[in-house]
Amino acid sequence: MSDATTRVLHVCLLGNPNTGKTTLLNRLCGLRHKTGNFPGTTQEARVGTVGNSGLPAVRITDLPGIYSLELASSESEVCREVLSGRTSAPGTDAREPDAVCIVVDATNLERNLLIVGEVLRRRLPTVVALNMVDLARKLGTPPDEATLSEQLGARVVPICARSGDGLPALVQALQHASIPTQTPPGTQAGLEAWTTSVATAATLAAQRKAHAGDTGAQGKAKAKSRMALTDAIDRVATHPLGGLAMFVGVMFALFYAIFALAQIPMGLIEAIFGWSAERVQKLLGDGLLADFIAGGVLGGLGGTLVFLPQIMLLFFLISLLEDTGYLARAAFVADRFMRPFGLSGYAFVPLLSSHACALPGIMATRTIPDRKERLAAILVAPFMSCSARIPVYVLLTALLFPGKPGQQALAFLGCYALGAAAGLLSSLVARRTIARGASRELAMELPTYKRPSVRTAMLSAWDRGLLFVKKAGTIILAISMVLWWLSSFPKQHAPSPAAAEARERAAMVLAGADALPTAEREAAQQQHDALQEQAEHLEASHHAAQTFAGRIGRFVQPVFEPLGYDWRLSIGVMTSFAAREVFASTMAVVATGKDDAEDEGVLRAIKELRRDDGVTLVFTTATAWSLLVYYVLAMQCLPTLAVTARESGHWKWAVLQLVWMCGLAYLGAMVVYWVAR
Amino acid sequence: MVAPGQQASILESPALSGEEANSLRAMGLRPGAAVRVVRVGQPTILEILSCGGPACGQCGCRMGLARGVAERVLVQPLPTGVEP
Amino acid sequence: MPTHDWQFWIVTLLAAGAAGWMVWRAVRALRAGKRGKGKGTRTNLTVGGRRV
Repeated sequence: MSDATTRVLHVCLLGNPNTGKTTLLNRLCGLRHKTGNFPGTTQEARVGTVGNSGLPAVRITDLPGIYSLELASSESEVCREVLSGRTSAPGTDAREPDAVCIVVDATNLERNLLIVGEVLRRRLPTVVALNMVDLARKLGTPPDEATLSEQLGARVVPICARSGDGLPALVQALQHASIPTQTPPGTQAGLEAWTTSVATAATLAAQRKAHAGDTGAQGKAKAKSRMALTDAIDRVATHPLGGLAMFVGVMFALFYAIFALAQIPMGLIEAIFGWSAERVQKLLGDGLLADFIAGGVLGGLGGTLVFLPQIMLLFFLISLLEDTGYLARAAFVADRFMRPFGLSGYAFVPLLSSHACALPGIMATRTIPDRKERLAAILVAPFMSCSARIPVYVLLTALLFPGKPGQQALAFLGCYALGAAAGLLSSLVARRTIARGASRELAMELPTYKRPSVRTAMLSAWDRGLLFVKKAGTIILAISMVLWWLSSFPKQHAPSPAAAEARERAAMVLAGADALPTAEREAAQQQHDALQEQAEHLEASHHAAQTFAGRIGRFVQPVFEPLGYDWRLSIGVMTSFAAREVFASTMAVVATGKDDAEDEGVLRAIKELRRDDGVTLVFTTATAWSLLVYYVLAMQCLPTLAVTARESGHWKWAVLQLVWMCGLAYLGAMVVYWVAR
Repeated sequence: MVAPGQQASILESPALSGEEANSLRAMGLRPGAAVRVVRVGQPTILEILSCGGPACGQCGCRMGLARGVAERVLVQPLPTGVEP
Repeated sequence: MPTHDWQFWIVTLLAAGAAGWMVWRAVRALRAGKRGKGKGTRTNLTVGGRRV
């Protein structure tokens, strides 16, 4: 193999926001990109590799979308650092890139040229990817790429990232990228004048080349009608009341779709795990190993992975929504009602990102220009319902409203609303006490409305799904295994006195029943069955309470007693301090540990779980609501605390976050329990 | 104050802070840029027709400005029917 | 405890391994937080050059 083929070219993808950089990366690299925590303000650092035979492979790093390299924002800072070789995405070498690929929106050339000029001034090998040429053609005359290339002194490749047109040529151009032959002026005013002159030359050349004036006129007419439609949508989407109603409506539709569409795949996953557990039991026969695999491994995994469809659907739909251009409008709607709480629309995107995970959300607060507002946003970001809470929400809403997707969606939406409300109120407190000051006014580009890319949404869902499966296969699996052991030993052989009494009563009910008339005999039989069932529950509870998990649960239970939790729920809450999703798997392990669990689904088994009296359900309406409130508000994520400490510059803020959130969760859950019981 | 539907040209706006002005310039709202006012209030929405040259006219690139920023951006209304 | 059962020792070993792995992970996360930066984190962690 020659040197040329083994060498990997390091390429940076740069450009204004909304120019299709991510779509381009997805098109070029598909599933072959890696997502990590980039130390910049883009939520994720994505690095992908693309290559064709005989030429060096190209490793592409997607940089945050920025308008200029010279701004003081941290995104611009990250881009400057990467271009100068002082930093890099995780897993890549920190060195000057071999080439820079600037993605330029062909329908918005002049403004996009500012960043092109700033990169050309750095004298790095550069290729300009002129994206959305298809749209530019529809709207009029796209800029002439030959003239543009001549003016810039760099290779210009017209592409359409959405359809994939022009991408092979782009990869080839990157493999042969060279230092530009032109250097734009050094001053800001000079650079702005240069962008105007380059854009004018490229547009005029294109117009000269066009044969008839019809194309332009048609395009202008299309553009005008498009603008009229955008104006109309914008008037509603940013209206004080209309905008709010639209936001709530969109979110409800999103959650309803998640619940309605996830039913079938969820059932399928449950069935697969149930079948697997049965097979294991049959293969290995009775014994601890079979119980361990069926209860600890498959029970824990199944109890978590059953929520995978919902998580993937959520991210699929959010990505579609993001792609339409609606979210920027939503930021202005949010700005209006966030401002009284000391936050601006700048905090909207970081807080919205926190709904995926608080870690990138907290890192994204670097886009907030005011440092005190940023501190407030960091402190309240974990109140936003992250994807780790989804399994708990799904479990509890399913227990509260079985078979009613509409009500489940409403309760689900309510959890998100409660988290956001708690976050806003906490921000108000923070801005009045520890982070006083006014927020900066919002100024943001409103991208054109467009048809979302299903491919990009699918890749986003795949990415998130993979992360969830990875978590389920590591930390959640480990906790399930440990928990199974703790809830299985020591084995208790002495029978429960309460269960023996119930069995005795059952036998007495049936004694002499043969002599009774049919109706009374049937009633006695029913009473006997109920007592037998109660005896079984009592027996199971008696044994479970003697195990290590039962003892630990009973030790901590007094703390959670005011919230209505028994020792099983207390164990569930305690274990979820390692990862919130663990609550679902803990309940699954506790519930499927029962003898009769094989012929039931995991969710059904959890629902039927009884307290120590053998009669009362563990999940009553009051405890389910109380748990829901607890999980919405509590801080149960160690990595988030570490990132809070790092980003805020001190551990005291992380401790404050932990104490404040857990205190609020405890109080909230207690109030809800006492009201609902 | 300009009304929705009116076109205007952006002027130097001394009331904007340095970083604010730089960021608006980078987003296309630079002195000499022609805009169409889509909405006035919270937020004010401006459609950038041209950043100074003729190339931007068809892009539909638009900016949302919070009232507090919009009040500090100086503009010169353009006569109706003028092509930027 | 069913110490006479060989299967007990296997499941105990697996559970202990899982517990050990979790402790190691937690210690690593805490250390990374204390150090102030993780793997690949090499940028300035301030806004506009000022610490929060």
